[in-house]
Amino acid sequence: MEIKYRSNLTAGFVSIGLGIICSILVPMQIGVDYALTYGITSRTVPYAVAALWVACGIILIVQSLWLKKDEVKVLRVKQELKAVAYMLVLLVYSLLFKTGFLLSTMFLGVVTLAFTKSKNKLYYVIILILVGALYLLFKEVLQVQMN
Amino acid sequence: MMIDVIISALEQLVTVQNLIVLNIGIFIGIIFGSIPGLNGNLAITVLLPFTFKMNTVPALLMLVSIFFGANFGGSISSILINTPGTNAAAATLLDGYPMCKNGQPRRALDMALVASTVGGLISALCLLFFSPQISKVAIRFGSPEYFALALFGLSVIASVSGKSILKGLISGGLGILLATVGMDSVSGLTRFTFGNLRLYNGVKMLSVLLGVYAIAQMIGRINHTEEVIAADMKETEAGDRISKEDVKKTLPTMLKSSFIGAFIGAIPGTGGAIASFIAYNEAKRCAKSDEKFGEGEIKGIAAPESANNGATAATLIPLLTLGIPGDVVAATLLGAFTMHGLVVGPKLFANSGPLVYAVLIGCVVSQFVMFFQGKYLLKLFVKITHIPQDLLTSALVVTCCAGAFAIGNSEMDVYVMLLFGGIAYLMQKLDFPPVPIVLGMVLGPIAESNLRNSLVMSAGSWTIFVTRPICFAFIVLTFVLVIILKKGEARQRKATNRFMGKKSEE
Repeated sequence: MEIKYRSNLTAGFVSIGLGIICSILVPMQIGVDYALTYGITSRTVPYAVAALWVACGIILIVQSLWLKKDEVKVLRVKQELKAVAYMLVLLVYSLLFKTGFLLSTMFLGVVTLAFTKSKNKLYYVIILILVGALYLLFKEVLQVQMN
Repeated sequence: MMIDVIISALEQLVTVQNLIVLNIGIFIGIIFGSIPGLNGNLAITVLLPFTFKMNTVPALLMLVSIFFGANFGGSISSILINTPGTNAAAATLLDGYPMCKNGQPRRALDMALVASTVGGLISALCLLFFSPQISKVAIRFGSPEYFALALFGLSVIASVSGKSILKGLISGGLGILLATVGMDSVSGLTRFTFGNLRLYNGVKMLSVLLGVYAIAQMIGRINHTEEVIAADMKETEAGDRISKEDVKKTLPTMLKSSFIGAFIGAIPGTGGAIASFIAYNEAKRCAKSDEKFGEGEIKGIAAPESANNGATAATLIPLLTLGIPGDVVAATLLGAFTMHGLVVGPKLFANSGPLVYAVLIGCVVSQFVMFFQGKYLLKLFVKITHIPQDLLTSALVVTCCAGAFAIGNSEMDVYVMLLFGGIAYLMQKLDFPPVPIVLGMVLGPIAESNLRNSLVMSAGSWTIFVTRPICFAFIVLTFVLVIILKKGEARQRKATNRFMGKKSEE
């Protein structure tokens, strides 16, 4: 299955959405600045970015709908589902990470190989050894405290 | 005084450890450059965490030598499989691959190596001699000039935005916004911390870099793990080596192209790809009637290779002297310099002279290291390009995770990396370029803090930016650069499409 979408049009709507979310978040996340600021406060840059996103989004939509300056892109669902599934694996990894670097990263390495449909057992062994070697390198040589 | 600084720099540079790290850096750089899909920036990003516990000089030497090595490495796949390992090597395939098909792959690779060394050497010398001079002028800059400089740097977004500058601006905005996370240094207020104490110090740039450049790419590779196999070098035929006559014939082209590369590389927003095409065109324009460009002409390899390596070290000139990263690798290296306690910009030479000179002289030395590795290990590099893509993807993912955790012994950095890997992957689907995120993260805070300081200096008057000559000049230059970069980029895209069209016909 394939999904067709217009790159500029979609990007325009995403950009406007982000701009709106950002402008809603600013007063919630940034306090009021009472210092002598000559109009530039801690909120100025985030608001400017939100405005930039909305403005760019509107121009992208205008480009797409009125100026017909756009590109139709094709999303191959089967292929993208694999990418989404892998992103879920990354999410699981981030949850597992609390249990320790070594085991969780071994899990990630092995699953990544499985995702690439690797059938060579030696590669799995190499990845497990690599994770172990990285753990020892950081912990013993570079003195980084690995959990 | 100056001699003392140089002697002190040499004392810091001439150690066995530095020689080893230079060799490691060049070796890794060539490998990453020669494998299509990987590049020097990815190598620097992935290996940056490994340098945390190293001393500043060896750490930076390793990272910059990866950059130099990767640029030469790009020519290996260009010549052997008609696919440029890096953008900068795209012009090399025009004559490199035909020469390989003509049964002279080793001669082509040798030429690329010699030209890369000459280009890199001239570029490194330009960096060594011009940077301190520019820095002497730049040291007089105040907050308004820094603000104008940051704007000037942000104008690079115009050239790295690909098809749409608007999308580049949106990406740049994301970078600027990310840089605001944490405690605001001026007001002391927190921004976008969502009550999480671990975000009070902000988002670490390296975590974002690893996510945007490495993890996003690896998610993409999950779907495309076909073997990208570099052809073995054919059996060496008689005469398949570079001769003294070849070097003699190409030397003027190499020198000219190296200076073209160094000049273009020093302009923010340009880089090796533009330099190599310009140098190639220039060599072609000056060609004699018996020199057939596009059919395996040796000057057609010498020109782009010396130009793209000529641009490498020169890219660091605006970074080290003005604090402006001219391209994505420079932006990553800026992160590396900062993590190793060096504040790049006008005061760098005054504050850390011996250390910086040690790195700059190291840049010159690394060109010789690259030459000797290329000369004696070329067959090994070609073999390494056969590394299976599935194993490589998995190995890079786990290395990134280890690196992200090592940034600050914090799970948060790993989460940030993974999150931005996912975000960057989705952004790719909408053609949002990733490079402006980094530029925004680096230059956004500089622009913001210096804008505030400038307005305090002028009691709120915005005219301060047009009444100070240097500041005004930078603002004008920003507009000029945006126009030039957009025009230049369009021209380069046309040239690349033309060349790629020709390549696909073959």
